Amino acid sequence: MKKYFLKNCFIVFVVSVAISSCTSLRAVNNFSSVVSTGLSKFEEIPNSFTQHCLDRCVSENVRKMEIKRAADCDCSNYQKADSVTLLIYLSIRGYFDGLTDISDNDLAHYKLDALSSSLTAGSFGDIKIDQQQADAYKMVSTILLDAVTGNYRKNKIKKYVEQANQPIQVLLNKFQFILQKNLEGELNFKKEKLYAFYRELLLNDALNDYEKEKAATEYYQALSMFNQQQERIDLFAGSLQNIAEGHQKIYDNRNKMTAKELSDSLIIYQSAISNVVSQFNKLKN
Amino acid sequence: MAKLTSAQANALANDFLGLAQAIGNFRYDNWNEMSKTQNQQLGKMQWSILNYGEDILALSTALAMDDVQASLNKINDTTLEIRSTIQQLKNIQKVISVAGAIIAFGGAVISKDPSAIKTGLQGVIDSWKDKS
Repeated sequence: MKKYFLKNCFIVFVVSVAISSCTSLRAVNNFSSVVSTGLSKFEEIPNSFTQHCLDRCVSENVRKMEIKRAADCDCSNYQKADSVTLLIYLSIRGYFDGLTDISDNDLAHYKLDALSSSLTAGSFGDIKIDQQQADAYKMVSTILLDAVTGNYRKNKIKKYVEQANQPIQVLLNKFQFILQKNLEGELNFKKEKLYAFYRELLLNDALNDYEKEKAATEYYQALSMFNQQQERIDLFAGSLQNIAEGHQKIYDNRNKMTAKELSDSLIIYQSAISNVVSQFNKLKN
Repeated sequence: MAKLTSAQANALANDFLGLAQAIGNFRYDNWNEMSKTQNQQLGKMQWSILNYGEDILALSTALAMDDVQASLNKINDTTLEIRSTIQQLKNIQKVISVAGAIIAFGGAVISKDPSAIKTGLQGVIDSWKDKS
């Protein structure tokens, strides 16, 4: 009787450990996979520093009414700016992709079919294992293995989140700075040049009223396009703040929070990031 | 001499933008009062300041590398560790498959059936070669 009680206690313990480790990993997995999707939107932003430099080169020639066989533009500093931005993006993305993969419960859900089918073959001399025993063995082994690997992954994730929190905050902050202050800033210059170009055009007495009206219409169309580009960059850059806060939440609660609490608190950031993705897609269309 | 930071460079670029806007406003407000040469000179200066401002923003981004180098190294090391752990966890499945094949092979040896031994041995080889 005592033996059965202890056996049941052991099974209940193993199952509960397995369930708790899986669910808390799921919270991290859901968050990091939403983050990875959100981050991938960066690749859909058509603006870059190099593109800005090339556009500037062309518009400069147009303003001077010059044509050249090949655009002669030195964009090396702009290319460097793009490579720094890309490096930061890829490092952040690589980390969150890794976090998504390691917290995926399918990663450590092992198939024990090979073992159980070998054991049911019944060709072990005098030892006979029937189907029922093999199935029971497979079930317990699967639960045990899930529990062990689940806890192993949980501890590993805790360690990685501890290691990564400070650098990821720095990188997300700098990425946001580059996009909102510098890349959007380049568009402010583009807008000012546009304004200067059309303002001079409208002050020119050689243009009749119809031509001036047409020029003003063109100006507002181009301005609206630049504003939309800035809005898109701003939207994406804003989501980096949600990512930073979400990661900070995981870090702050890495030792004490239950799976449910962690999941509930991360949902706020997940929703904010998903909302950005949806708004970003709307702006794209 | 202290190096320019990315934040300082960004602030400088914004100052350039403000300066170019002020020059532009002056030009448009005094368009008819200025000579063509004066206007052209001022226009050239306005455009150059805008170009410098754009260049400084690109420079600000390149300077950001100084602020993030250590963080980039740390995060890339952590990512490598994560990838290595993932690979270890994937290898467990391979060990299980190989163990199953070895047990089946052992059973075949005990049964002394030549065709079962051959199949069992092939199973061990196949499971070992299996990359998944």
